[in-house]
Amino acid sequence: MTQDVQELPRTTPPRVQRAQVTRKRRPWLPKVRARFVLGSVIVVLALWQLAGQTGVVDVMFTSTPSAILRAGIDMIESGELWANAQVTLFEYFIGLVLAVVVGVPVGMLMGWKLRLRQTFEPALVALYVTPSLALLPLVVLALGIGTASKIAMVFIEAVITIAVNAMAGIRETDPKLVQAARAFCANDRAVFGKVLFPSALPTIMAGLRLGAGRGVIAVIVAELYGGTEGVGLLISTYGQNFSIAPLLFLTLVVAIFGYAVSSLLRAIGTATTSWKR
Amino acid sequence: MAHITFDQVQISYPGKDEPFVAVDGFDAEIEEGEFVTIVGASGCGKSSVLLAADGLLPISGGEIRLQDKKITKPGPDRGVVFQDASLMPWRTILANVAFGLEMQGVDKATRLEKARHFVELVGLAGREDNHPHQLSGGMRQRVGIARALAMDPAVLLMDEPFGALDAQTRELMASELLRIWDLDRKTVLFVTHGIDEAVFLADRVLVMGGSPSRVVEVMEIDLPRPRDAAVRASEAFGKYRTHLADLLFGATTTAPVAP
Repeated sequence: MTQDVQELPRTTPPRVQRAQVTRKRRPWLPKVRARFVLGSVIVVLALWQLAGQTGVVDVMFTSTPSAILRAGIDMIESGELWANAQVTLFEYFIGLVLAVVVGVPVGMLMGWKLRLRQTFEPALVALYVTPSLALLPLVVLALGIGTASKIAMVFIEAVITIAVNAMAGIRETDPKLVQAARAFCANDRAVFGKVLFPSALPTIMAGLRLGAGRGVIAVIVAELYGGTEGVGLLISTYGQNFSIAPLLFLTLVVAIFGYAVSSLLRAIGTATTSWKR
Repeated sequence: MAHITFDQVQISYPGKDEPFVAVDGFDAEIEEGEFVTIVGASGCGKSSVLLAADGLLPISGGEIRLQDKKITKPGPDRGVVFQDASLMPWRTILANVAFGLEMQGVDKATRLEKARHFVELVGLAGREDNHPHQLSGGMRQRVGIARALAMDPAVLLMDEPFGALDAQTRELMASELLRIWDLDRKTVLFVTHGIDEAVFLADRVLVMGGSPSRVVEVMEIDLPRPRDAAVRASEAFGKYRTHLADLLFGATTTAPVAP
């Protein structure tokens, strides 16, 4: 019996130590989630490259990751990318800022004032469900193929989403909070500024994020349609020349940009609404 | 002169064809410094009467007066505590308590200092910078009470403030409310559907009933103050309680007789 007892301590410590070893962090390895994300990307890229090189798929249509990378470096070094991106970024941000400046107040007012809502909601909802990219030919006819029509397209795409969300945010405000504010002698202005606006802010921020995403699509499609410079035009030109590698590189750049804008707005939204659980 | 006078008050809601009259001929006089509870079956319009006394709900007939001045809209002379506390989730506890003062145009330093005092008074010192979701239901209701008191109103209007709390917290909050009320004895109008609570808190209980409803009986509660939880065990308390239950739920003869 005493032997059994003495044996126990001898067998347990190694087991504990092993558990500790596997749990120990290896700093050169990224965190588990990032490891899976990274891993899946690497596997896909490797298979893609392999499929292209071995001729399993036609490089004519798919290109290969290495070719795309080379095309990208070329475009960056020649200054072609930045020259066009500048134009696109300008169109995008002007359009988006206009959409925010117009969409947020209009949406909030429509959420607040019943008569305004009854007057304009049908039009807004109709525009919301219309694929407004279909208006592109009309906008180009009106504003030409220059910068103005691109800004207008970003504006149209983003402003409706932003306004609809701002309106919803105001309307979703808990009426009990409005009642409480009134009980403490809040006037209309205070009800709006101290209750409706802070309550709607998370939804407004969500609308900005969605609108910003739709704006990216709008500016590229508008440039694809016609123009003299811009990332969309580059994509369209390379497409017509069957230069798939630069086309895919540019598409990737646009995707990363859209993701970055969306993430940034999400971070701002979270920071401004930290009171939410 | 009574502090608050309800004179033949009628409250109606828009119905399908014609307005639905919920309250009619509601008469009551509340004296200064009196703690009055209003009880009645749910849906009898007792909360409506209270909200009308703050001017949050329009009345369709009669008059409600505060020291002879007709009540038409909310004012800083009345502080309201709502059933679900109705705190602004984006504001800290301190900023919530300071809300009424902010609406009165009190400067920031003064209102925060006052708010701090009332947060302490309701026993939440140290939680000033928390947000409402970090507090329990009882604590949130304490914030609601502090918010109403911070304006130093002449009248406190309380709309089933402890209705959503568990039984234990509810009793605790009732004792706490009496402790705070005892400091300066404001006029209190307190709506509840809890019989125990109604008797425990009140100088007088207004019993609402009928359809449309009105005050069907006024019960004077002659229990010594200050009251603590032990009062609930007294014989007098039991009598008031039984009488009130009879009024609200019909005669207790149908209930099983205790051995």
